[in-house]
Amino acid sequence: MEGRTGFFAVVDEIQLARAKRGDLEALEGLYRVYADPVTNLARRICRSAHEAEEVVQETFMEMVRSLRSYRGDGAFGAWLRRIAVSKALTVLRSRRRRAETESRPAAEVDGPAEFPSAVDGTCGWQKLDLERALAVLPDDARVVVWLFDVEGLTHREIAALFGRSTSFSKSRLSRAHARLRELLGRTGGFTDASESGRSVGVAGR
Amino acid sequence: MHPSLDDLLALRDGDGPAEAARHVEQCTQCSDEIEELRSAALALRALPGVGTSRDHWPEIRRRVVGRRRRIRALQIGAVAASIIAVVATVVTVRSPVSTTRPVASTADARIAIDELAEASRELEAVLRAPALRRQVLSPKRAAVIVDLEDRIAVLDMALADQPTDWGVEQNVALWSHRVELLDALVTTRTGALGEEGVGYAVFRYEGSQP
Repeated sequence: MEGRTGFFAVVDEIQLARAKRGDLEALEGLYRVYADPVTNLARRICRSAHEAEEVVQETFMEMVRSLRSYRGDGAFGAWLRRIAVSKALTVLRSRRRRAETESRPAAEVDGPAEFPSAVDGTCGWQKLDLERALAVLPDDARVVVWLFDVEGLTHREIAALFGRSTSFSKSRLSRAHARLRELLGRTGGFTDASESGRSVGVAGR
Repeated sequence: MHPSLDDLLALRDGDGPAEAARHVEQCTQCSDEIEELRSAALALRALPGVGTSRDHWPEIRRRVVGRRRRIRALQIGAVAASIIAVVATVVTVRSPVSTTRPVASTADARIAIDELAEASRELEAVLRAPALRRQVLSPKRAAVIVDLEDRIAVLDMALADQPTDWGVEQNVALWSHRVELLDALVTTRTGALGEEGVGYAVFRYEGSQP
């Protein structure tokens, strides 16, 4: 499944070849093309603007360090996105470790989630409500639903990024949708049975 | 029994077990659920993007430059030294577009330099053609082009800052090498154009741009 975000901008091969050789102007060009998609992805994964900015910087430093290993056998944007997700997941793990050390919920460690302003409705879903619902999902569920439904990654790709199985990715996607429906009070919500261990069924049936 | 949410999500994405698919075909409630899952994905994709609030490039650049300055200086120095070493030993002009005769006198050398400079300008004009700037290149071809461009840049540095004890022969050799590199660059660039590139290749030798 192809991604739908700015990671799939067309990159000039000459610019890419120059960037591989360490040309700063070419590297800056890549930064200018991908800074916003990387920031958006980092914000969706980390929620905190401060952490997202850290992810952006580390992602592009890693891009500079590893660019020579990029062989061009896949889209450059997809390659960079994997780095960004990996960096963002590292931030999440670090936050979780801090929370465990301080014995408080991970969400409290970096303060409340920050929402972009959005009020228009789409397909009957209020964007602001959706933003809020997305922000309160458990980290794993939020990351998986974003990577699968928005970025277009496969369960296999997501599983690899988490170092888990595809069942993990599928169960977190189910959990995310069930929770979103519940939080938004949508009709015909699902029972999230991934926690109870039984088969997930459509509620009320 | 209705399919699981996992199965409905899989069916939404064009996958899922056949048994669940058969059920959904006959069950309005389940097909509505799949539509709802589809609209959830659409709503997520329609959320506004969040761009970066500040320019990180200056800091990234500072870190990159700090790490690479010494290595880069060594690399450029090595390339420049090798080119100058090769050029310094050449006393005969060998160019695909110019003279192959030995430089017999200073006057001959100056004529050769004029011819080579003119050949350089013609090749550079070909490289400025819009069709060449727009072309889609393979990563391998792009790497060759960048390599040639870098060698030409180093050569230009040598031409602009020659040692005072160099004679016109070395100058001719540098210009000759520059034309060879430009020629290789045009060949690499036009080769990526297929049939259209043939016209540019002909222009290089006959002087009529397609």
